Amino acid sequence: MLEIGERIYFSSISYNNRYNNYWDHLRERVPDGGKFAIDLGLRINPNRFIGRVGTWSIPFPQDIMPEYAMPVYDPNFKKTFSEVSDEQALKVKAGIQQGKQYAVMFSGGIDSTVIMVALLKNLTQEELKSIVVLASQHTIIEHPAFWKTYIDGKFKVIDSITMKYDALIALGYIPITGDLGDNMFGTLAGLNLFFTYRALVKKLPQEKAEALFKLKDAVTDDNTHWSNYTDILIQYFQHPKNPDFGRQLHEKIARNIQDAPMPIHSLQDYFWWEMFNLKYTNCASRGSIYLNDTMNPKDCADRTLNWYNDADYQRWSMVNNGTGEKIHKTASTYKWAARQYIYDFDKNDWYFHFKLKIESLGPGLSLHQDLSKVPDPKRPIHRFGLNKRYEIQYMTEPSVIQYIEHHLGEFRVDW
Amino acid sequence: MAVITDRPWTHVNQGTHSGYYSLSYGRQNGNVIFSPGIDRFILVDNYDIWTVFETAKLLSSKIPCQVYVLGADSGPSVPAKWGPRHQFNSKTCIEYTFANKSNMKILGSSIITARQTPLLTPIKVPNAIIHEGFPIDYDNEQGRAMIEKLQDYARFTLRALYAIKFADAYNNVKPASEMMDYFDPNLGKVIRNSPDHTYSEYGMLRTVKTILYHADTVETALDQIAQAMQDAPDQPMLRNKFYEILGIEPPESVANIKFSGRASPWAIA
Repeated sequence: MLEIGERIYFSSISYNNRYNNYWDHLRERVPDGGKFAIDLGLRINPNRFIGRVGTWSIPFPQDIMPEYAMPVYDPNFKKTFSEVSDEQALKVKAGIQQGKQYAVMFSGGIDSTVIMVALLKNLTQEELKSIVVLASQHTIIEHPAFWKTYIDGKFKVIDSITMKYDALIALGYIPITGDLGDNMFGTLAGLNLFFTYRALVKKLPQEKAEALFKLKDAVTDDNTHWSNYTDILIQYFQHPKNPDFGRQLHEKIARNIQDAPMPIHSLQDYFWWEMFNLKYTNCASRGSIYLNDTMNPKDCADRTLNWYNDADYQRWSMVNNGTGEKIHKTASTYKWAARQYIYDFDKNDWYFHFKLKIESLGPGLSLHQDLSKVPDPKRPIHRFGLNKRYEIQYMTEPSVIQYIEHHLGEFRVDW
Repeated sequence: MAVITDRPWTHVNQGTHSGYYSLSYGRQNGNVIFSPGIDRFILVDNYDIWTVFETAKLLSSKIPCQVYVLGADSGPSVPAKWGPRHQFNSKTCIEYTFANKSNMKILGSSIITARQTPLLTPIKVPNAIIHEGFPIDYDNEQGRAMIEKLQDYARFTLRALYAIKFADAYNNVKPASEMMDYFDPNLGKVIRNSPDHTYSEYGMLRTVKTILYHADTVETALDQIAQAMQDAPDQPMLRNKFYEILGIEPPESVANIKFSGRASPWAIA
């Protein structure tokens, strides 16, 4: 139940097949701002953008969840990624000494491998007995050498295909998720732009194309300001139904960047900021909203260790733009500091040099979702948002639909 | 029952599948492995797309990559007079990439982030491949050494796969376990499932593939394969064919393998 004007903590305009037609039809009935919000849902699906800081208008009256607020920027922050990761492991160590048990959601990707390395480095063999590893076939083949050497036969393994957060908590574990790893380093949207750069440039008028082509290898260069790439950004964000969308989205992000507390220089920084500021709340909370059917999402989140939702990780991230710690020039060096941390432990030069970020929560999401005890109107596909009591709001409820349509109908392009 | 009046498979030289066999339309070096992370091709082949595809799957333990079959005019369009250094081949492919990667997606995700394991795609776009130069993030001493290690391991895996597949196809007179897959799985509990004629636990084909998937270096893989050959001492023809196609002399440990003393089919017949 939502009332018009009610402030909420989370909203989602998601093209998830079930609601595609709904959003398409609603798009025809709302003004420019509503159209933009829906188009953003399609273009960078889903639209769960919310500015933790700075100017960022959204259709719904929405507040930042206090637990996901951005820490104060400290330009003198000196801890390394390695030090912060080790310290995070020591918190788990302290928890184990208090009798807690943890379940690491291990995908084989860089973020969750950092977690495993931190625990293996900093916990005793006895303490590691309080850790179980959630894994699937996909986990094993994403990092087979690590699996064989450090996990197989050494940890109790639970099949992640059948496990959601609430199920793990019911078993007495504290789930550990690395779901915010991308937010520390940048964004897939940036990697995709860098990857398709040449083709995007070719769509521009010749003069602009020639100038931008010369900047092809400077996307992470601290001395090449992101504003040099404005034409290619607009081209990249382009939406098939809305010729104004690319410019609208870029200008909206550019406006928000003006309020960033730290310098945002390169194109890599531009996309990092999008992820660090605008997508943080989504990445931090989506697990407890969509991979949990029985608990209040707040209770679920409180009983989960969101590994990278840590003030020091965020402070590290805020002072490491342009240092080469996040990326050198191309995708194969993305998450450099994390790669280095893993390599220092396992000496696997294949993984260090060639691992790619693979979307473990994207189209390949491998989860056998047993929804037999979840009534249809309450299933994840219907989940729109959270009210300020952290109660999930479903699109199967008429008041939620009225809320969505009212606020999208009121929203204007005001930037 | 389906009634099919036109029986297209009668025309054995026609069909969409011919587009997946690059030599059928005269394309040289048309079976390729592409690394989205390096943004370059790492291996080319002329002969068998399925062995290339399997090579990419075995390499997936080390690097995510994709497999493509290039069209006749996919490029790169470089005049022959420029000489071999400028042709698209095994040595130069590391300097080439696709001109347009915008639509290279798997379930809506760009291939750069979509999968650890490969898919196979035909490329029919003209001039799809361009010269881009050596990948910038690897253009340093350590990076160049790693690219060399990668390409060497990829070529070795391809050759070793050809070798073990041919060796198996020539010599494996007991491939029944393959057909057992088409029967009740419980049959294996009653009747022993022998993967091949070598007495090796999983069969030599699977054993060599397992080694190629997990080994860290060519040298480690060769040592482990040699050990596997010693575990199947009664099959000299298989190992001779394997090393012949691999192109190296068998190591001493393999050359000195002695028969186990088991009764061979010829001893009994």
